[in-house]
Amino acid sequence: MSIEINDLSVQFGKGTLAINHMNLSINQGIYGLLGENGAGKTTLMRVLTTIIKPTSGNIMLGGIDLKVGNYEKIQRLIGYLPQELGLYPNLSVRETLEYMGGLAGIPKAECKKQIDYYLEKTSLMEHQKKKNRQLSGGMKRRVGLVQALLHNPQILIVDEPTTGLDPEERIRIRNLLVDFSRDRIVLFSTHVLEDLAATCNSLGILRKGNLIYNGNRDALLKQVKDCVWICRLDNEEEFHKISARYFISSKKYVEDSIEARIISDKQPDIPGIITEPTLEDAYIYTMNSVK
Amino acid sequence: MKYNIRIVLTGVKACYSVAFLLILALIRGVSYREEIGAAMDANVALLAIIFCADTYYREVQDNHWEVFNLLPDKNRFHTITQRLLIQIIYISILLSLDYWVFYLKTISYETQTNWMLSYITAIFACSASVLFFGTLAYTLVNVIKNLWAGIGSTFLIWITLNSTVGKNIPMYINVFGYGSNQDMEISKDWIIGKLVAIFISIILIYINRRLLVWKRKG
Repeated sequence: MSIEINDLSVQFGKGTLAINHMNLSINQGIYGLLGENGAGKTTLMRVLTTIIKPTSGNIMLGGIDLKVGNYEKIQRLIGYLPQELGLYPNLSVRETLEYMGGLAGIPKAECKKQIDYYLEKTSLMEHQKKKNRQLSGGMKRRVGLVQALLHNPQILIVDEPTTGLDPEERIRIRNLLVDFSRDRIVLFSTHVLEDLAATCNSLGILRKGNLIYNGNRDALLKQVKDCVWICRLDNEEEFHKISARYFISSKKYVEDSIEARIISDKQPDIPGIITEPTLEDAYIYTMNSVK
Repeated sequence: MKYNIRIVLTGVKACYSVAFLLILALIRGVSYREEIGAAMDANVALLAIIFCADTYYREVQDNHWEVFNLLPDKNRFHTITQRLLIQIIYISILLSLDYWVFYLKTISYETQTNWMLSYITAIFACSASVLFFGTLAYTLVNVIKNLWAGIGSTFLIWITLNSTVGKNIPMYINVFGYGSNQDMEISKDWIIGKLVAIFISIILIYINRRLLVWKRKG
C-alpha cells in the first residue's frame, strides 16, 4: 500500500496556488505533515479524500488512480478525521458509531464488533452511552478517530488531531495513531512538532504550497546539526540586536540574563555553546533557509 | 430511521414549529370549517421552508460534511431523503392536529359538508404544499450552497405564488390553487395543481442526488 503523488497542483479559481507541482511518495507507517497555516496541508488532505478536485497532476492511492470514476473505491480505502469534526449532539457515542457504520455500509454484526474493539482501544467504552454534546474535546477526537477506522481503511488521514487538547489527551491520541499505523498508512498533519517527534520517522514540510522537505526525521535533524547554539545575553536590548541577525527558536530568563537558542550556520558573534537540535530547530531552520 | 429522527427533529425545531402553528391558529380567524385548510395552506408552506432548508446544510453547519462526503453515494442520498421526509411527515402530523385547534377556536357556523372529507382535503392540500416548499428550499440551499440565500429565494417564490400574481396563475399549475378556490370545493383543478407540486417535489428529490456532494474544483 502506498500513496504516489505526481506533479500535483491545486489552484482555487485564478487565484491562490494552494499546492504547487508536488511530488510525494508515502508508504506504510505514519507520515507527518508540517507547515504554517495556509501552507496547503488541509488542501492536500482534501484532495486525497476526494473533497477537492486537483487542477493538474495525478495521484495513485493503493494502485487506484484518483479520478472521478474511482471515487467510491478510493473512499472505501480512506478513513478521515478532519480538523473540525462535529458529532450529532443528540446521539450517544455508540449510536453515532452505529449510525456512521451503517451509512458506510458495514454489516451490522461486523460493525458492532468493530465498535466494541475500537471503544475498548480508545478507552471510550465507559463513555459509550454519553451524548456527544457531553464529551470533552479529547473524547470527541477519539470518537472521530473511531468513526474513521470503522470500515478498516488502509489509509488514515488525520488533520491536526491534537490541536486544543491537554497533554494527557495529546499523548493518548498520538499513541493511538502509532497503534493504528502498524498495518496502514497514517497521514498526520499537525502544528505540534512534539507530536511528530514522538510518532513518525518520515515527514514533509509544506510552505506556501511547495513541499520544501520530504524525508526522514533524522535526516532533517542532521541538516541542522552544529547549527544550534545556546547563548546568554545580558539584556533585552542585546536580545533585540541578536534577533535581528539570527533565527531564535526559544528565549528564557535565567537569573540576571536571557538564554537564547540561536539557529545559525556559523558560530554567532557572541559567546555560546553548540547544543543538540530538536525537531523544532530543524523545522525553523528549513522554513527559513528556503525563501 | 430512529437516529435520523433524532438528528433532524431537534428541540429548537420542535419548539418553533409548535409555537408557529399554535400562534397561527390563535391569530387567524375563520368562519367556516371549510376555510381552515385555506387559512393554513400558505402558512404551513412558510414553516416548511424554514424547517427543511437545512436538511443537508446541517452537515455543513455541524462540520460533518467532509466525513459525510466519504460515504457511498447511495447511502448518503437515502439518509438525507429520509431526513427530508421525516420533517415533511412531522409537519403534516402537526398541521393535522392544528386543524382541530382552528376548529375549536374559530368555527362560528356549521355547514352541511362532510366533516371528514373537508378534514382530509385540507390535510392533503396543506401536506402537498409542505412537501413542495420543503423540498424546494432544501434544493435551492444545495444549489446555491448558502442557507439564507436558499431560504430567501424560496421565500420569493412563495410570495409570488401567494400574491395576486399567483392568483392569476391557472389553478392546475398553482400549488396554492386550493387556497384561492373561494368555494373550497373539491375541484379537479386545484387537485391537479397539488399533484403537479408533488410530482415536481419528487423530481427535485432526485435532482438532489447529484447535489449532495459539495466538492470544490481546484
